[in-house]
Amino acid sequence: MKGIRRLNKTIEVFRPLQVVPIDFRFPGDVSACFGLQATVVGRFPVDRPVIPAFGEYSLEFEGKKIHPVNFIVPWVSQEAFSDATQHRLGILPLAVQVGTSRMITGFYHDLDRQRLDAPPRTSDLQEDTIFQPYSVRFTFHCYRV
Amino acid sequence: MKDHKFQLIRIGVGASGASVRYTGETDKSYRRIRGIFVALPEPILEYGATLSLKVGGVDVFDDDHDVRLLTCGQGVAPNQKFFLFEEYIEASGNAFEGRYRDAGIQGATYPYEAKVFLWLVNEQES
Repeated sequence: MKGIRRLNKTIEVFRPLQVVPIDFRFPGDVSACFGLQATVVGRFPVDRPVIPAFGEYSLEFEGKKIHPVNFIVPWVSQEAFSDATQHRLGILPLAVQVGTSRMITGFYHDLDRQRLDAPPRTSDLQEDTIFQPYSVRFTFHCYRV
Repeated sequence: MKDHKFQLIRIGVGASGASVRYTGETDKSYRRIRGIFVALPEPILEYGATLSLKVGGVDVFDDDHDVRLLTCGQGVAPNQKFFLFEEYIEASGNAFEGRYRDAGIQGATYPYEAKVFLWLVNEQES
């Protein structure tokens, strides 16, 4: 094994239900991608410790020739200790050989789950819950050439 | 025979949003870095904190590597807390460097100390 490179790509989400395009290129010393982790980076005023489907994403490799992953991203509270939040996020296994293109494309879609625990609107005078911008960080685990 | 060592790196974080560079050398009595674990004093500090690491001049974690991928809660057994490296990372007194970046979360207490543990072993490359 010639070594492993872990590449991070962060996207920003500013609106509920926003679709954020993902479009970047692997560096030249990457030969294959064997795993992926996606985390929501943000703190929201919700009561529950975990929101299992906070957003969803889809990724294509090699200029859309390989489409190995459509998946969800959970949001996990770091403050509410429970069995559900004690573990470390595992790696979603992939086995994508990186060829000449090196392009990764796709999208992240916010599912508007920040307001799950907000009280229901009872009048027009009541302020709507404010959407808090957040980031989603993708970590690609890759073999070096 | 010395087979395992858990080497501690202390990173002092003085203020919200601080970016702190750290350097050092692995214990030369051990051949390989087997894993890493990051411990922060408050769980809310884990929101958005990042850690980069370079060993012997080779990138192990890029900038922007989320600390949450390198840590876990108190309920996890000590031997399962570590993120294990699949690749062979030479210890043997190799120099390491990196940068810890605090995310500036409201409600956190400053200053604090981030603790990075390196799991060093004496096993051979397989």
